Amino acid sequence: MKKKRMVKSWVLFSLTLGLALLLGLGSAGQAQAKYPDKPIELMVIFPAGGPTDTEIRILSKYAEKILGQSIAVINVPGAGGIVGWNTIDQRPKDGYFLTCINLPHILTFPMVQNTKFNYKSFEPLVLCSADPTVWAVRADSPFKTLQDVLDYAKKNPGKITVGTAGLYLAHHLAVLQVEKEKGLKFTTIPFKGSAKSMAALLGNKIMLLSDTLSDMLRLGDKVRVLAVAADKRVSLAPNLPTFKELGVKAYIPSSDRGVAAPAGVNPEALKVLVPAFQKAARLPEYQAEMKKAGYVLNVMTPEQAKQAFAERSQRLRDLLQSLGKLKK
Amino acid sequence: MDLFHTMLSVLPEIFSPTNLFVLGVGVLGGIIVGALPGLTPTMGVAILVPFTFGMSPEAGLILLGGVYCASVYAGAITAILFNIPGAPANIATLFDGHPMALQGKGKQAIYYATAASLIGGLVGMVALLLFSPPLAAISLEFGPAEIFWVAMFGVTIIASLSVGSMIKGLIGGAIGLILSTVGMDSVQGVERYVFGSQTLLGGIDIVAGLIGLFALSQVLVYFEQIFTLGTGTITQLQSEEGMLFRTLADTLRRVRALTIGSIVGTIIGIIPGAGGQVAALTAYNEARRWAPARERDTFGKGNPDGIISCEAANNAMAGGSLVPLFTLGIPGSPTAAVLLGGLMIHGLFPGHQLFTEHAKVTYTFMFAMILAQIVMFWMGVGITRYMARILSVPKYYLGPAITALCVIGAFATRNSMGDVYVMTILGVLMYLGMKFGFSAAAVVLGLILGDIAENGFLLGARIGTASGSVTKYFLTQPICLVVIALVALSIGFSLYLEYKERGASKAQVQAKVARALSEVFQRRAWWPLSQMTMLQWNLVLGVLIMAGSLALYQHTSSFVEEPRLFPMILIVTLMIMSAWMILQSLLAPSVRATKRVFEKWPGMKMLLVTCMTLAYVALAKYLGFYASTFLFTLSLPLYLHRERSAGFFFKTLAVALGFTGLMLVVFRQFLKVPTPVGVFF
Repeated sequence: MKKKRMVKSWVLFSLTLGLALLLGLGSAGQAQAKYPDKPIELMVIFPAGGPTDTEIRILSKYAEKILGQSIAVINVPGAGGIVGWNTIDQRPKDGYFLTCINLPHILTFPMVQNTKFNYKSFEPLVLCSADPTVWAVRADSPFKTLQDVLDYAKKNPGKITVGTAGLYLAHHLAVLQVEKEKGLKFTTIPFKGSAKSMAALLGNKIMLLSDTLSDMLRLGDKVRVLAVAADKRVSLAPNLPTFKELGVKAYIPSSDRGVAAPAGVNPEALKVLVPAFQKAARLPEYQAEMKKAGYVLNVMTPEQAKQAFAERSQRLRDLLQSLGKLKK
Repeated sequence: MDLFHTMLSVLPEIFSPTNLFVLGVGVLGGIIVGALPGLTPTMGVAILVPFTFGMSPEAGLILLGGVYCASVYAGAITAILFNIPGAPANIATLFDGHPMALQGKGKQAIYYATAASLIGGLVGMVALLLFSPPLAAISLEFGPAEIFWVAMFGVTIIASLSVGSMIKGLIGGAIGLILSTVGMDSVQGVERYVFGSQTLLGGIDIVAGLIGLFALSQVLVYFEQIFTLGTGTITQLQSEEGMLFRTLADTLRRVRALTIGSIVGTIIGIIPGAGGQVAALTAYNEARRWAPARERDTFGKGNPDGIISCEAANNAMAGGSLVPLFTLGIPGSPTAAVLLGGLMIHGLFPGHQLFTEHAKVTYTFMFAMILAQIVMFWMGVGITRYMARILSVPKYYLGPAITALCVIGAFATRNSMGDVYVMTILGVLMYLGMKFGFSAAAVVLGLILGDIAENGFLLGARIGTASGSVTKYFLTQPICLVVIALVALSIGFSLYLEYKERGASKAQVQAKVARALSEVFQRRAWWPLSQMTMLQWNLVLGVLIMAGSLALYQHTSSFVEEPRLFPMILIVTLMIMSAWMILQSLLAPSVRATKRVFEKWPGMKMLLVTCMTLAYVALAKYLGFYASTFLFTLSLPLYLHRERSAGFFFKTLAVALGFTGLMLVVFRQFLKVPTPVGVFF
């Protein structure tokens, strides 16, 4: 009997002790201080180790130093990014939660899927890279120029198989744009990620690949790039013709990446975050590292980014509307 | 000759003290990550990539390579000791590894796995070093159609793994395949079986599924054993003098299993997207098929060849999967994809320049990986002693601790509490399913292969349509033909085994049929549930599955064509299977069917334990993971172990505090793995 009571009191004592400990740890460091006074979370909506993840981790390494706070990259992948971005509205707007943004993903996904976000859900801090969309064939392909592809497609509707890294990404939209402008029909093969579509091209499983410039530069002389989607020739590969030069007038988006806060974020935090990320993205060390890792830099300010959102969104909406792809 | 010089010139670099130290740290870290259920090699490498930022390219790559090799190996340890594979690639290891452990030969089983890993790993690395270009050419031959057939080959393995209860194996596999279609389909962007859930929108995460189906269900089995067999350890370990060297020598003598494992592993490793899980299972299946008839029955009961073949295979796969990455810049496995990120951070474009401009760093990495195999071997042997000792921890401490690791593992891949719920639900259902003779391996295999098969089929069908004929595209290409032949061989072989199994026990079956039937229909022992035999349950389950698939059919018929095709085929298959199960239970009951499934089952206690587990998972979101873990690891052992003394209470308190503290240090401070954060921590 006595023993039992003793056990009981010990249980009570330990539980109280445990609770007190937990409370103590939980409430430690709640005092108000200047932003940022605790680590910042940065959500990446692709798996760890992918190109977006790598780029964001390199950028946050430099931004950390400027902010004087650590940035914890957390990966919330799923459904091409929709799962992560869908949470943006419920995230804290105190400046301690940031997310990566990818274009045209955040523009097109809300148009074709039931998402809980649109591009206005994001307050861009910086856009740091813009990878032009390119069309490429295997080095030994009979298609020597873009015109060869277009001519063949005209004569043989649906015969040309074109690989993309997924649906409604820049690579896919490029195919839709060319189809619409030239009145052609391709067979689109949406692979899960560009690793698989590149392998399919090299293995001669598909005839044409719509992908990013940086991926093609990595494949080197195994592929022949037919056209680059850019206003003027790109400095990384000045010998490659643009779609414009070759007579494709329609807008073909690039794959851009950047960092944003949720819309409605605390303005005080924004005053710290924007200059920090802008500065980080312009550091020569950062830019050198990015170039070494094969990224195509194109740093934009928040104003430029917002303008790009609105303009591109309108163009892509027109495209998807004319194709009847907009969600009901 | 020039190449050879470059190769040799990097050797002094590797043997520099710093790099050797980094390699040692990497291998040790890899073994720990690999041995923790839920922390897969992919995550291990991903966690470490940021750590390599500040290192020289050589050191960074050596660290990543060491972790990769060692973590693939270490998943075998938990598979053998606890019946919980550390990663999908280790699923096949538990078939023979855990039975050996239960016979007290756990240490020996780990030695077999370690030695086989070393040899398989070396074969894979040598293939990478010497034959990369031709192997890369082979890897490119695998397009959507070929990969579809490889996945089909994997599906036939489900059938052959469940010989004796083939129908339940196939139903489990079909359910796994259907689970893989949950989420947004990749061909048209259609939502399937999402029901408004954000977690399901992203699909069922393979790691969360693996942990739930294998680890959590196994933990529940341990809890049940505490009630039925008493508190105790999982198994006793026997140790003999000279066992290490005898086992190693024996491994080298098992040439057949080693060869099959190493070659199958290397080849499947280079196929983009198939990955290690398929490599190890295929190797296991082949090792069994090529074994002499008298030995074949010992597979699944602790045959060392079973361990050797799949451990050689998954480590050979590690080298194989780097072939497409290094020669073409295309990652052959999820881990290789993460490694690609690490390579790029160090300014190394995998691909055309890797063997020319960056040859020095490349060869450093390759030699370091070879060295990593050897370091891994000795560390593995050294650690086995301590790892095996975990078996002497009583189940009432071990079970809650493994549950906590399950939660971390399920959460960490996608930072999603939803994945933890999915893991928990699958775990509890699998625990019940195991009672009825379903196998976790079949469901997990379905979950892994479904995506590969469907994607391969739909993309292949599009390419086929463009080229003129879908059937011609799938049925006449040379590699397709080879894989189709393998599929046919595999189906034929499992049918033969199933038939043989039947034949052997036919007399017994007939003798029992009458009795079984009378159990069902004459004594009408349908209540209480504990009196129902497997035969009756089969009937009930058959009807339930039939009803479920009809409802699913109704739901699925509203999808558009492409995303509908694959689930429809599966649902119809499931209907046929359940009809077969109903008929079988009525017309051809087998000898096993007379077993009373829930006889002596501590139902109420298990219900309570399950509720405590569910509460733990639910609380993790509100209290925070570590606070919740502390409460769980304190309260559950107190309930499970019927001893009510102050001494036991304080011991448990110390264990709970120590374990939670250790988790805090390892996961939060050291590995920086994110965990659910609530009010506390």
